[in-house]
Amino acid sequence: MFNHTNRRDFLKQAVAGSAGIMASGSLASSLLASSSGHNFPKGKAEHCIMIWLGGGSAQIDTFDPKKRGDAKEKIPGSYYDSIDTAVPGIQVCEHLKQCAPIMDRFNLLRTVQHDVIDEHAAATNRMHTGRPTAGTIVYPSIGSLVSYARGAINENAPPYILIGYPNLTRGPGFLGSKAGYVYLTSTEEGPASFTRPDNVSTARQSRRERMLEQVRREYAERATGGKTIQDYDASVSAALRLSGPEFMSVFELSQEKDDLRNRYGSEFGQRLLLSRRLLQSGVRFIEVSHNLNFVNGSGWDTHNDGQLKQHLLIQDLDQALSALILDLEEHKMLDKTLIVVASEFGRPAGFDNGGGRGHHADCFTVALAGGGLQNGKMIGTSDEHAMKALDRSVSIPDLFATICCTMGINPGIELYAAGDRPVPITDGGKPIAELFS
Amino acid sequence: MRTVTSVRTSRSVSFAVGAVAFTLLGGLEWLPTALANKPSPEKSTSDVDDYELRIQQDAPVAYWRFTGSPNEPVNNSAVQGDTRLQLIPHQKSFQPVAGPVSPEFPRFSQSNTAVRLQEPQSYFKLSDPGDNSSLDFDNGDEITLEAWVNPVRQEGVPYLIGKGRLRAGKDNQNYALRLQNKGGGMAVGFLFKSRGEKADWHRWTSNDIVTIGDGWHHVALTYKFGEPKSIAAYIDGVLTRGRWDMGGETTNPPVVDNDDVWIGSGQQAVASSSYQGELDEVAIYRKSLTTKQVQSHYEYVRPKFFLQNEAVPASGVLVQIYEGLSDRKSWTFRPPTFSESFHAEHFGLLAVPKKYNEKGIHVDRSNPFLMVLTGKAVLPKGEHRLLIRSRNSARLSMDGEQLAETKFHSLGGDNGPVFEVDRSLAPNIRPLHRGDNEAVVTVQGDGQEHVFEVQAFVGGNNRRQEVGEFGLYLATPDGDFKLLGSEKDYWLTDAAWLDYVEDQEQWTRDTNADRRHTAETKEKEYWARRHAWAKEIVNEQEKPAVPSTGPEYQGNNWIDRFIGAKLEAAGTKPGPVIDDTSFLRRLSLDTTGRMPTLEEIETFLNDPPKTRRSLAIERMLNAPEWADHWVSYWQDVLAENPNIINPTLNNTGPFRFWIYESFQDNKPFDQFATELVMMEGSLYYGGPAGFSMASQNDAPMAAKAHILGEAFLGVQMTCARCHDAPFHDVKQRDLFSMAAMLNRKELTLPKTSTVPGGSNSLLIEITLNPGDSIPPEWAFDKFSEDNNIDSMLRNDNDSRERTALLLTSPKSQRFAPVFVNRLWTRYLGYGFVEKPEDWEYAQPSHPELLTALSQEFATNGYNIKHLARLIFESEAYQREATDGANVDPEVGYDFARTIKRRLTAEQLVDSMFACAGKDFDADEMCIDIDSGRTVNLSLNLGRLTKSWQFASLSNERDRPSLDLPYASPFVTTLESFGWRSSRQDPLSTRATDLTPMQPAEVANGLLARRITTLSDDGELTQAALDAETVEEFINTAYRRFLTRLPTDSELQQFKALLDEDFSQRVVQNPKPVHRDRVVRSLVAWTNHLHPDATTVKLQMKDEVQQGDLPTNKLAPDWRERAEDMIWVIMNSPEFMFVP
Repeated sequence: MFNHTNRRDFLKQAVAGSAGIMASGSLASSLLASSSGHNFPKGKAEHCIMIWLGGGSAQIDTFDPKKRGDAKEKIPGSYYDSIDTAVPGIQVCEHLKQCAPIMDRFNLLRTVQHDVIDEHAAATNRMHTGRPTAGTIVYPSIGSLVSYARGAINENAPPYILIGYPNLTRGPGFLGSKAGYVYLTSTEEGPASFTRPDNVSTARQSRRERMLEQVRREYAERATGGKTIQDYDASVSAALRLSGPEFMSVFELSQEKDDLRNRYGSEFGQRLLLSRRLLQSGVRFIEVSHNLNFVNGSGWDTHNDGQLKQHLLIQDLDQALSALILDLEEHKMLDKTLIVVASEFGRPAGFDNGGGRGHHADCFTVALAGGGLQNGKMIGTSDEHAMKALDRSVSIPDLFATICCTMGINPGIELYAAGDRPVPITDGGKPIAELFS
Repeated sequence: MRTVTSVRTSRSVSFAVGAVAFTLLGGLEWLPTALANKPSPEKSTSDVDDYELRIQQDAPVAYWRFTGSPNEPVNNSAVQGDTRLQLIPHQKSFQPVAGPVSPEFPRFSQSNTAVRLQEPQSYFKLSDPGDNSSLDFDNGDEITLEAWVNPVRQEGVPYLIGKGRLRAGKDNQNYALRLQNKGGGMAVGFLFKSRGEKADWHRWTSNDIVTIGDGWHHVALTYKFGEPKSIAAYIDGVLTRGRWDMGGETTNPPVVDNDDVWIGSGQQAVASSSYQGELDEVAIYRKSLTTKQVQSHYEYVRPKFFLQNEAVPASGVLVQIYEGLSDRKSWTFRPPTFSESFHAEHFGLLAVPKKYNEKGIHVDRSNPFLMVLTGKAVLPKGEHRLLIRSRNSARLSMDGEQLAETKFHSLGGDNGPVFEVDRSLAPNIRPLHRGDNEAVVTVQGDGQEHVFEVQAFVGGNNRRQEVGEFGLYLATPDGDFKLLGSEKDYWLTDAAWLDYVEDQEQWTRDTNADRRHTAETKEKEYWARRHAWAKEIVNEQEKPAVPSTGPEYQGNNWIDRFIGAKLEAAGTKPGPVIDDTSFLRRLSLDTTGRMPTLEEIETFLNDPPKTRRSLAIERMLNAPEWADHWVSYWQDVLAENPNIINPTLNNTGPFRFWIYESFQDNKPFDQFATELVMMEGSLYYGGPAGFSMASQNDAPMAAKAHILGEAFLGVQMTCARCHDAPFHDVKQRDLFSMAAMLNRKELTLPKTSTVPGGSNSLLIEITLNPGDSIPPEWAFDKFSEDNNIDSMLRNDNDSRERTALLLTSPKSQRFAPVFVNRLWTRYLGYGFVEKPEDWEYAQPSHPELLTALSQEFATNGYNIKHLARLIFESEAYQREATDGANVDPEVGYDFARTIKRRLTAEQLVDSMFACAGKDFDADEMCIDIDSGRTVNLSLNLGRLTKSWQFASLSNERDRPSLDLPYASPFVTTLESFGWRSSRQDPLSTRATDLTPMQPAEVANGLLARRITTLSDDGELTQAALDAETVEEFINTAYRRFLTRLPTDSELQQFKALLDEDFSQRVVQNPKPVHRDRVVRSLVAWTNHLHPDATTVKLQMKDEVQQGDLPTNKLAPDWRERAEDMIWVIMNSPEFMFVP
């Protein structure tokens, strides 16, 4: 039993490191590699882009191709031909032909494994939080973890941006709204809350702000509530700054050359181009959703005839992803930016009655790129149907630990839920060592 | 204009045998369910069981009648005096029930009994007498298996009769007669394992089904082993086809050995193989009965069914509910049971009022049920069209003649089409809602009154019991449709729809409240006794004396004397009392959860200054939004966590609706807590049973114990879920003992509820291991002694009820004080105890006051409003706020001032819309808008009008077609201010972290844009049009948003802004703002994979992005300046805080 004083003292020490964290970007020293005594590989990435292939992308039809099967005859196997890549011994599907020549910038984790396949939400949650749901606590997403641990790079940019639909698995969990995302669902407009409405001209905005200033000043003089009010008043200024021209110009993709915009391709490509611009403005973590349902109805959830037009999704991904990698390289940002291509699970080699594929989580691929890792490696080998690991499995905690280490975050550090409950940042994950040496 | 609703007590169905007048009002036919229905009047009233003689004629080898006690061995009636083929009850938990009886089943006597099997472990065993016994069947042998069943709905494939395959690893099935969940009922199945080299399973399943919920059915199956085509099954005497759907046909012989026969279960008695329901007249024959023979075993006389004889009202509509309807898409069914009736205002309903049990708890009806609306209406002269719309099939009749019938609900899957919007029926008709069906009929009106009747299926096929946009409408050949039977005109047009919906929702709420109060009359007697008991117990306790203080510290009531005495002793002067309008604003936010309306401000200011605060308190306590404001709080504390798609994230049912009604009723708090712990009623529609659910959680009752511990005991058990708590005196066993009490039997510690790999921390101790069994035990005697409380238990043996009583007992050291502290924290910004959910180290700052308030609470029937009134009246509540920078958690707070509070997310959003005088227009919290999915997979949380009604958007699939575009801006704003879309764990105090997202949402967010746009639908727009002077408009805006009037300098600033062109601001003959709104009922789960669904949702999103279109009634330039003022006022930090 701890007595009263002991507990309070303990808590004070425990939270001392994290007390000052604000969305504006100060670093939590206790969470960082440099201040910890634990021994773990220290990556040098500053940013992370996670590309989310919602629905469960088929590893066997993308990054882990095998002998061709036949959907009609129900012969298990790949749906497409395989092609060689820049890395001897690594093949990918024929529709990844632009990524293939630059496969030496990738690392393919081909034996990622978990056990949730019956429901997308639960699997999406596993892949975003690295843990099963608990009931006593809501775990933060990888985006929230990374941006909480490292903060934004620049106080004029939010640390965590989501380009896709908001959902709870992408949320901050017990870390609270300060570790939450700012989201937008298309590149045609910036995030609503930081975008001035079209009908508010610059002149009108200045008029508003000028009048608000007087009202705020008077209230500050009159208000009771001391620091509570002052702090909020200060955050009003911060918000107005963020919705000002500097950050908002990031969303003006028209500033980029047409040629580059064309190289990125579709709306998804434009999302990746925007992501590069956001990183340059100081954003730490971006999740980009590849939700092109209308191409085949179901997106990457290729049951039944969702399979028929799957190649269009793959080609779209191929073009945009390869453009991003080369563009980051040109900007000398690839080594500082970890790209993660993930999905809630993979799909089996066998076909369903409608010619599509079911869900499979025993062994599927997560592709990493850049991030200052030892690129061009393949981690784990799958069996002839890309259904089981032949050598090693990469658990979700291991994947999370790898991402943390790449971002320079100690994967063994503890965060504090509800003020005083220690929660390890990953669920006992071990980083994949060979990516770091 | 509301009719008073009367609730009739339930009466049994009236049966008419022979020639009783057919009083069915509609033109409905109630057809016989079986072709073999030939009533035998001479036998129908007989008390001799003709059935037994009939069976004996056909000479079965074994025949069990279940006429004696089913918990004693059951004799074989095939052979008199035979004791060899005796059934031995495995567990003696059988309920004797009435079996099929005459006159409905004329072959049976009126006293025939049967047996009910309700637990997997309850079945009958029959020992095989040995080699080549009469129970062994091999190739060439003929078999008939027969039983009478009255099943309940269940998953799996339950056994009626099975030989072999009883133990793990034994595949020796000689034969089995089984049922299998299919469509709306249960198919009949046969199963055996063949022997030899190609040994395999062979399963046959019938095409037709046994319906569920409508009484006894006869099933029989005949087969000659070795001849696969010989198989025949009969349901109610009717031959049904089927197919060998596993293993295929075979001529191979079956496995034959000396294993036992079980009746009612198989396969180690796992739940999915164990029959649930009633069983009678089980027989085994060594021959194939002929079709004629089988038919002669089933005889059924359909009772003449007529509607409950109630007068057709002169105005309005009589609604009758019948339950126990067979679950199939057919108007041919056995008579259902009358359940209840009430009056409605007209022939339109958007929801059927709820059913409450005698405790006032919302319970489910049978699925489906039948709804019958009867009323009189005048049919105007000339040609007219009658339109009936309904989610599931409905029939319309006039004066007893059937006129129209709509189709049965049939949508499913996920890739259906997006139907074209069809407005061809009438010029302005509201398009048919996806999932609804309609039928139109043309009639010649005579200007006379007629009796109309609509009968409708509600629910069925495990779908939600929704009626869609149900209604009966009347129109001229080319006019618009108007609701029939209504005093108020409700047109079936988009323009008029919202008004109708709001009226209907109000009617449903009122009707539900009426019905609930009537239902719980007896229950209230119990609670009156409980509260008398509580008063007696508390009156014996020592009462803290109210301290006397100097005049400066007297305050308004005795609460202030306790606070004042401490302040006086410390020499601290209390802070000043806030001014009247600030008080009203604070009070309104604390009671209704939103800022006061103009009318409320005016009433307040018109009251005499001396009494206006008390009068306001009284009014605000009785405001309907009192309930709304409380729901949010308990959603957090009780981890209410519904999910609208495939609940797999530790989700609960939507018990928010029970919370709402509880506070609508100002339910005594001990009753509230008790109902929560008992977890009874409706699981998916909002009853307290929703609390029992914890999807994909392997220890749901541990999760519930954890929540209840925090909510009512102030015991923090988060850590105890997996190990003994390091900073708390709570062992993991304590939590699981309580969980076992809730579970009503022992619990096994699951593997996940421990620390993987054992503890590697000095802080964590592990004293339980996975697999350990924990019995039900009350581990918190130190907070609430299990002593002398039994007189208040209604069921001594129910450990769950005992838990409820122990948690809420007046003897509890924690129940009342923990709540008092919660209330105090909520209203003053800081508690007597710092953490409402964790009293481990509690050293209350004002122990005597806490005790006095707790005693006051307990002796006043745990009436929350009573307690709240005392606090609101106190000067302590009415004092100015401070930031609390000098609060020392070690010694607590002195309450010389209140603590400044930022608006909660819900207060903010509800206030914004109240200030602008706009509707949410957020659509409904549902993706399955056509009820195409089963109840367990998709919830409908209803139309969104208050912030507490939102939930996670659940678009983890990232599909544009699953987006809820109208709701999503709300969720964005709510989440940035600390609202949780997912509440997997309980939370008593939300974090109030500051992020730039928060002011950014108020400055630019899509919701904020709607508030600051002067559009045609806003009350603020009307105020701008109506104002006679600039000052008047500025004052109105200030009152609406900040409750107060502007200061001089504020007034000057905005006068300077708005003076110019004020007199020219109103546009003469403005062009109406026209907008083609996207039809919202086009996309559901059932078509979300169709590309058109994405297109529609993206159009909706565009509409949301555009926001509210500005009015043309105000000159654009002036309007923009006025909008700028609103923007400024709303973005002032003053708006964001409780004064």
